[in-house]
Amino acid sequence: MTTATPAPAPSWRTPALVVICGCLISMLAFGPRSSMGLFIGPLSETRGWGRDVFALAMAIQNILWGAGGPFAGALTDRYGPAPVLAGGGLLYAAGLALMPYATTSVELYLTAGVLIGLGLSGASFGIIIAGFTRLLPPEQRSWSVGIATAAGSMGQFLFAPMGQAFIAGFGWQTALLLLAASMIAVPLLASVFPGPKGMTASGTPAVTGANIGYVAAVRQAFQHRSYVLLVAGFFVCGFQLAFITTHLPPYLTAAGISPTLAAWALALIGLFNVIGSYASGILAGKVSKRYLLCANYFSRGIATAIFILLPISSVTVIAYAAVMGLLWLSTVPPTSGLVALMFGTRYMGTLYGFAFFSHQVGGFLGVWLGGVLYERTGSYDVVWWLGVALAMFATIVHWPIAEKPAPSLAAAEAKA
Amino acid sequence: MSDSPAPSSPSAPPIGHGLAAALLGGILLVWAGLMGLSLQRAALPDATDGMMLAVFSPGTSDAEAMAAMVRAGGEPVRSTWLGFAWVARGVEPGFVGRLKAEGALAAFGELPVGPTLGGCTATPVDAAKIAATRLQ
Repeated sequence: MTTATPAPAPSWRTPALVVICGCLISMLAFGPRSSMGLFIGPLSETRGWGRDVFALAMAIQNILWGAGGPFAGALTDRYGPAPVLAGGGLLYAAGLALMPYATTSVELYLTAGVLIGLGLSGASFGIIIAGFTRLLPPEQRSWSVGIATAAGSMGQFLFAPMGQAFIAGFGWQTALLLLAASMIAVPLLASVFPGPKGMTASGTPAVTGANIGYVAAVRQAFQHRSYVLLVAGFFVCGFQLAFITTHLPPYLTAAGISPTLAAWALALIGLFNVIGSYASGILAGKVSKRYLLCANYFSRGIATAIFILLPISSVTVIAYAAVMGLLWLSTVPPTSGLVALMFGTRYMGTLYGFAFFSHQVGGFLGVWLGGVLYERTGSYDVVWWLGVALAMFATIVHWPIAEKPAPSLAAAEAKA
Repeated sequence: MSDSPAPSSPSAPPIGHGLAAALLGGILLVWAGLMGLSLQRAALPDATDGMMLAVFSPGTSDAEAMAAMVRAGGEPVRSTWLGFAWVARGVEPGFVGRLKAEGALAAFGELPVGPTLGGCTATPVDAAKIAATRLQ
């Protein structure tokens, strides 16, 4: 096995400090995004825009976040997480800070769309996961991914009311500048991450996998059946999350549930997501990752089927929100863990970036198909059942995943 | 400066559930401080009158809150999803100050706290509408 073995050196950069800073970055990156919807009203009113302008800016942001993932991941694999996180944080901050000054729709697309989208691809948990896998020994990696994901979830949960409070206290323009200022902390926090060679806490080599070049690594990954199945399954995760986030509130209100409870349902998902992500990180280090993913998707399908078959009531809404929250981002620790297991950590950023791109494409379709099929059929029933079918599809495709190093990595290990 | 983090040593903070709990506690503490600061700034000045959201201590009964609004020279308009926050109206200047004297914690033009969620790929387009309790 080809490894990089940096010399252990005493430093103030302890693994615990790196984990704390990574979690704070994860929280900061997810936080302002969850406040974006709060600015639709004031921005649209001030500029005289329709909601379609903001919606397109968000669509650009999301697709660039996904499309930029593999490139940001490749840069992380080459230069380490610190410069990528710092650059992403600065782009994110610039996008937020310039949003109040966007007077045309194109300027909004460039700030809220392009700058924040690219910033997210560089400063979100995909890069932090790549950094953690090079820092911690295998037995602690899943836990670290779990806590980073939970921190991101906590950021979503805490920044939404804080964004509202900022708007009420300081006005929407200053609120955006304050959110931008919070992102300035990212480069500082990122500076504690180790370089591209990484280092485990025990001083053992952290970068595993042959140095074969990015193109060869990606080609090799997509020739490996288990990776393709994993990427296909992650698409379903994105589809379900985006559909529920966007279309659950209108679905509930149309069914007679109060807008307040509909809003609390989303908040409950966010809260239980913190617990679910952390628990998933612990479980992924103890049990089979593919079975954990199978159980997650199967549970999503069953929970959704029960939810849409039962008459909608406050109890079913709260129960469904809690269950889905537990399962929400719980796919991240086992999915990233499987990528590291199959190919080692050398190209972790790049290969997880491709998996996340699949997730984002699924998310785009979840939002889009939800709207299109609702307009055509007059209800969300078709998309709900499509979500159930996709959950079963994801359960099936994860089952045959080989939970072991890919042949290429195994061959390199044997040679070493 | 070394490019690598230090290996674990007896003096290094341990990694585990304790670290997670400490991190959560620290984050919540900072968040509460920032929220308090923002809410304090968002509160209406004492001289304000008109329609507003009057916030009482959690646990204040409906009867107590309504009586306080009436004693302050105003009237309750409706309750909100937060049991201790009421939409109230007072036409005389200084209504906010009198409300506070009667036990209200603060009054806002709009209650800037509500639930919402932005996922990995989507933000609800009506987040602003569903998130905050508004007067109109």
